[in-house]
Amino acid sequence: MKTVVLILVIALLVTSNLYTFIYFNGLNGYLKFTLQQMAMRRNQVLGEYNILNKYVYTLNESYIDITEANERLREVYRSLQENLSSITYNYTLMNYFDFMGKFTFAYTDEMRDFVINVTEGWNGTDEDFQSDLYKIYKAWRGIFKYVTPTLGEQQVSQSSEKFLFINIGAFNYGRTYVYSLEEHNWIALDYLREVHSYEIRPIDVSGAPNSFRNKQGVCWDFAVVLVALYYAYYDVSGKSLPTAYISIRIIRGFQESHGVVFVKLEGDKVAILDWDVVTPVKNGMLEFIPFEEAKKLHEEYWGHSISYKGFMKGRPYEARRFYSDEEFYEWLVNELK
Amino acid sequence: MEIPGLKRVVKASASHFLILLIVLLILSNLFMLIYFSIENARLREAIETEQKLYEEAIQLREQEWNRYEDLYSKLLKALEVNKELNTTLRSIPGSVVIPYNYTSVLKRG
Repeated sequence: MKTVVLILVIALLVTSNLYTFIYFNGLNGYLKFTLQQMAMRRNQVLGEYNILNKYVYTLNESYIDITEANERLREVYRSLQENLSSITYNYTLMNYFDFMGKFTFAYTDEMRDFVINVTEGWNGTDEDFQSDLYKIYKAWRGIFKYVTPTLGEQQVSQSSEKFLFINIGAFNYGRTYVYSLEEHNWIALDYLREVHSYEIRPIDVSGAPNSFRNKQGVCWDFAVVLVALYYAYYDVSGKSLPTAYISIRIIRGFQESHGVVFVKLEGDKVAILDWDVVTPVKNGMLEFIPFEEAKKLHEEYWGHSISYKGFMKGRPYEARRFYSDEEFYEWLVNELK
Repeated sequence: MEIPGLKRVVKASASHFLILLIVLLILSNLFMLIYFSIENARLREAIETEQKLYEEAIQLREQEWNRYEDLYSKLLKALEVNKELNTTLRSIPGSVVIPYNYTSVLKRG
């Protein structure tokens, strides 16, 4: 009986032993697995942190580069503002080419008064209009004095005026790369890194206002003022004709450049105003004749063949070079407005 | 032929053996309990530590993320300022200083 009891106890203890081992070993395995998983998750987070840290580092470098660039640019701007604030008169800034486009054919009050005095206004007839155009030419030709450029000087205006001009030598741009978490990609950012050698200096500017004031110069001064005087007349009368400064080339052994004025009536009918009116003037009125005839007269006037090389006009300012007579004719008929 | 007393001796030895086995089994059970309790307690402690380290890592990542977002928005603002400065400075070079008395004249050109 005692032996049976002992064997039963042993059986119970063996069962208990097995149960304890299975339970605790299972728990132990689970805990080890959990620990391993957690370590992996932590490593993953740390990996993400390291990548972010790298992005932040490059981002910070880029940010420092750009803020330093901004500081340099602000300093240049401040310096320019200081220089500009030392200008004693009221002023506005205008892009050089915009300014030249407007200034070349601008007319002053003095020029408008000149036109009104010469023409005494327009009576509303075509005859009076054409007569006024001739009167303006004649009056301007009468007071304009041609000044021969000295040796080595080009046929450019002698009636220049000084204007202050702001120049910045060079704009240097930089490129920096940052990682965009939105785009999941490295992106390139371009920025203005610095500007070099800025200055404010006086430059010579020529245009109808100062050429008219001086009443002397070369063909450029004469023709540009004539165009501006016609613009003044068009504004006074309320009627206008397409008018442009034309650059011509006279071919006589050497090639000589010259400036004249074209006024177009319609189609290819034009009046050419050189130092003299090349196209016919009848009863004190400008006559408009087909371009082919006008060109023939123009070539007879100079005694040499002529090519029309370019044009300039205002309202709005336009300029262009022509590389063939056909190109010029096409422009004259279809584009000069 | 039966040796007198042998049966009693064998019976007594078997009892002792069984008792010894019981003692060994109890000891083995106790050893397992103690070993695994200690081992699992160590693992639980390691898990707790790992949890703390994981939370710290998450916090670090969050901080770095915030730093990234902060820097990125600052960078965009700096770029915007740079763009404005570029536009401003680009508009200046090649500019002519026009006295005000010329502005009405220029409208006629």
